[in-house]
Amino acid sequence: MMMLRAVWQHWRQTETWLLFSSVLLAIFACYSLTSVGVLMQQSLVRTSAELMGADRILSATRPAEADWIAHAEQHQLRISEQWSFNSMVFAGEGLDAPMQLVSTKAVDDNYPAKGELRAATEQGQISSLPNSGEVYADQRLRDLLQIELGDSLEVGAAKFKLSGWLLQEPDTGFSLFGNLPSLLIRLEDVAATEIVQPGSRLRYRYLLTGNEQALSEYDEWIKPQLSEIYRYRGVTDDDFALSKSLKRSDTFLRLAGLLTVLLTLAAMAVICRRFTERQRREVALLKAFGQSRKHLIRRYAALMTSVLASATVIGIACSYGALWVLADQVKAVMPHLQNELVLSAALLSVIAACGGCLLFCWRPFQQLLATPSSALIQGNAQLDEQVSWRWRLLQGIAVFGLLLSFAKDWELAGLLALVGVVSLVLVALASMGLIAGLNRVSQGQQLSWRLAVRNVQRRMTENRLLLAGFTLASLMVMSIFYVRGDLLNQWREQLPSGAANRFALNIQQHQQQAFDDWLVSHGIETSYMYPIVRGRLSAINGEPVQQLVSKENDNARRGIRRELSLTMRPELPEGNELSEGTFLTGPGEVSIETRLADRLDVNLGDVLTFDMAGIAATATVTSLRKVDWNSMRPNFYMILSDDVLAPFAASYLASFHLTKDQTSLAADLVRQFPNVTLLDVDEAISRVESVIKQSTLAMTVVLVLVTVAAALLLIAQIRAGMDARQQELITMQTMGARRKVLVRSTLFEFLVLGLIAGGVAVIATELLLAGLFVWLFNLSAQAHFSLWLIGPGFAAIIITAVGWQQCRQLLREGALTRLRQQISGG
Amino acid sequence: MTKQTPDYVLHADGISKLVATRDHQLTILQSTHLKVKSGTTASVVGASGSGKSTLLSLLAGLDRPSDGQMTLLGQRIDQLNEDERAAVRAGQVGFVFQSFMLLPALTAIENAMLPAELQGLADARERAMHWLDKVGLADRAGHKPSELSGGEQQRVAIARAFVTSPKLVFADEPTGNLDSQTGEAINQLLFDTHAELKTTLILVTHDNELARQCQFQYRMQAGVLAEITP
Repeated sequence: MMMLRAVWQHWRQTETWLLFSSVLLAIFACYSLTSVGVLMQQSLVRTSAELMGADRILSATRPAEADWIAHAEQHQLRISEQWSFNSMVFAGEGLDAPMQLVSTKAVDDNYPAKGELRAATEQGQISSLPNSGEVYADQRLRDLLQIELGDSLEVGAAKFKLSGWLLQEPDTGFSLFGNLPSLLIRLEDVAATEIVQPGSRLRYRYLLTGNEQALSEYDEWIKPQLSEIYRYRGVTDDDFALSKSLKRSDTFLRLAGLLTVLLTLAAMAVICRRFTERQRREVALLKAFGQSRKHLIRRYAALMTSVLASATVIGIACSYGALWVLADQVKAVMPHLQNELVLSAALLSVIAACGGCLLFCWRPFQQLLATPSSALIQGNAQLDEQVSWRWRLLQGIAVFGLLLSFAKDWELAGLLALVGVVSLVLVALASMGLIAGLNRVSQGQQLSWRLAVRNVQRRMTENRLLLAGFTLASLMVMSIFYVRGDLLNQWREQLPSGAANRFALNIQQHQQQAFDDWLVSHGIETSYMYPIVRGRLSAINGEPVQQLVSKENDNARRGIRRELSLTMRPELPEGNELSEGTFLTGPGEVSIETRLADRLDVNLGDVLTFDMAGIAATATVTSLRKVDWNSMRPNFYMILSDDVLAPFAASYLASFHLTKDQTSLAADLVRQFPNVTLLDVDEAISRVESVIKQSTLAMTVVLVLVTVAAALLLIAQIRAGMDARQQELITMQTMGARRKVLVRSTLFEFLVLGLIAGGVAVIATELLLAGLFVWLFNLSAQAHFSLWLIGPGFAAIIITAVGWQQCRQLLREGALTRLRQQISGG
Repeated sequence: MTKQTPDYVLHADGISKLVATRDHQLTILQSTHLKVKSGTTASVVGASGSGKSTLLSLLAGLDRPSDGQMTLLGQRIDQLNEDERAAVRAGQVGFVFQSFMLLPALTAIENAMLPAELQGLADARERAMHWLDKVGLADRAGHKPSELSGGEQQRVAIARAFVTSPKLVFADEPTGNLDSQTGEAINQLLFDTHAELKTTLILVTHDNELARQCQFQYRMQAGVLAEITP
């Protein structure tokens, strides 16, 4: 009971509230950032899963083992099975009936697993599957086969009624070119086609959906059992178009979470120190009244428990509330953002707060409890302020452990630790340089400047801590600001404004000029028209490809079994990056995409033979290109010299951008050029845009949170030094220093500290960014000139402003007022 | 802990205090002998820096002597650790400080009841109220130190010092921060309380007038204590 009353009495002290606020903010920031990270990542993954059509896809040329399916079902995973195969489709009967090679997808009732299927039928747009005996077809077949809804189509031995045009299939991904037109039928109708026979080329796909935990358990269970012929992937796996963006935004969120934890811990350490300093009189008094150390330990342990417990509950509740508001506000951009209590985030926040308290408050509390009661009579006895190197080492290791538990990544935690150590060394060097440098600068300057310089030097020990804190805060904000900017820029480059949203395929050679003229006459900007010749890769260095690839795994065979779209272009297309060799300089050359080259084990100097409708042509590989398949540009595996493709009939591919007002022009275009297939990728672009928008929003929210945490650290540090500063101001003012001089010297002091902190932070930020981009994002590092130009100045201004804001009250009040307060306060 | 002459509330037998500085040892208090009888008043006067405060710390068991034997309330305390010394003081020793040392977040009554509460006395609040009434502050019980004048704060401190009916009260320059009129009233209050409760009162002051009101008077000079009782 007495303990409760003692704790309650502590809660009536301002210092306790300050300590509580710092722990509260630490918990709030940790929970918010970690859970924002988790929730936004979940939302991004959900959005991306819709693009992929499932959470996981298992595919192979043979069916999955029965117990894999059973196990998935036991894990409450929903499975949608589909078979896909290439076959000829005939429109109508008779030998002269138009026909086309198509890719047929047969799906079960669970299709689509994620996302939405949309088809245009006679009843309007619907999202249900075709009935048994019916088929939905790719719109390209309308022109290719001259068919309309209601017509009958023959696939193998079965006849189907064309009941809808496919508008959206969630699992088609981003491959726009070179794919065969598709048909969608029901799985139970496959038997009637009689296409699937033993040895048929058939691909089985299993689309899995379910909750994240069940999925990851299933991942762990199934992955070791999969042989090479099975392909199993999720949205974060490398071959999914948005996976890199997802991984980078995840790394960004984790980095931001880490930085915030560090900032709030540092703030907590500073505030805790101030708290214990202010408690010393009470401890001395209680000891004089006969309280034992054990009792005092219990008293402060109870207080800290109450602080931690209430800060945890309130911090998480506030954060949950704030996220709820946020989720509601951003519903339009992030429809999948569902606010839920993220237990792992809550646990991490509590561990961070408790760990932080133990790490940074232990020593101050130890010193507090060692306050001798004689301090009441003999004045404050000087305490041992020295912290042993063992304790510092322990703190360092514990902070690194904390970093690691948040980052779940050695590289990221190591990079941060490295940057931290470099910053501390720089701060130490800078503060040594200060003593020498400032003296020289201040000679002959006005009084306030000299006063400021002397203050900076005199308080060097405290200033080193202050500088470290300021540097840390500046480093965090600068790095988050620039990482966010750089990532967003790189994403935006994938989708430049005015990116092509229509692709016209199958333009004939004689139509090329007319097509171009039509675009120009309607004010539509045109770009390079790619000639396309369809051909197969038949041999590498004279060895037939079938033989070569039979040794390879199943994936490799897919890449070349089908016909490729071969093109020519005199210069390297935008978004392509040369990784080896020189791009097409003479006749008989081919430039190949790096990943395909890897799969086929093709190197510079190899000779490739292509088979174009029975006629062979050869070309020597002279360059390898990296292609950004995420970009909405025409991308090609093979680009050949003009002379290789010139003898063959080519069709052309044009890409252009139609604004919203121009969409009606599309119909006119199709009427003008009836044989041309017009692909509308607006839908796909807007889906990618939505993912980018979500990431942008996530990063902005995070930037704001990190900035708030940095401000907290600044304020905490400045407030911690307030007592000493107050004493000085009183003394100087009592001795006749004018207010103006004191104000200026205070401003100068913060300006000097801010400039140094900003300077060191700029170097550390550049180092951190370079490490992040090169090691973690696999992007090229770049210097940030704007950072060097405005970084130090900006940091100095912010630090001066916060310092000034915090000291304003002190400077405004007269010395007498404060003297009186001091005396009456005891 | 050997029990000694119960007549004396404290007995300093050759206690001294040395402090190690960077290059040598500084003697703050030379070997000192002092016995204070129960129920009496004693004063220690001396200039600033003469070692008064050190002596007070040692006598009250707030600090440990470097040498000599110190007995407080019949118990040897010079060999005890901080906690054990605190246990000897608990409820038996009261303090009045020059700068009041009230806890700013607590009200007058909460400050006054603090030692009683620490003793686990069930009637801590009643006792504190009784003492606040005695020092004339019953109507200010709910006020915080910042809302009280210096004299009022010191009266709360006196109530706090006597709330557990201690055997011994140490007063360290109790009027040092007060004007002379208020100071006189506070002194009067201290002596009246002593007279009523027969509490031993040890007063450290540089005010000779005040010192003379005590039955036994001592002077501290450069770490040496001498009795000057007329």
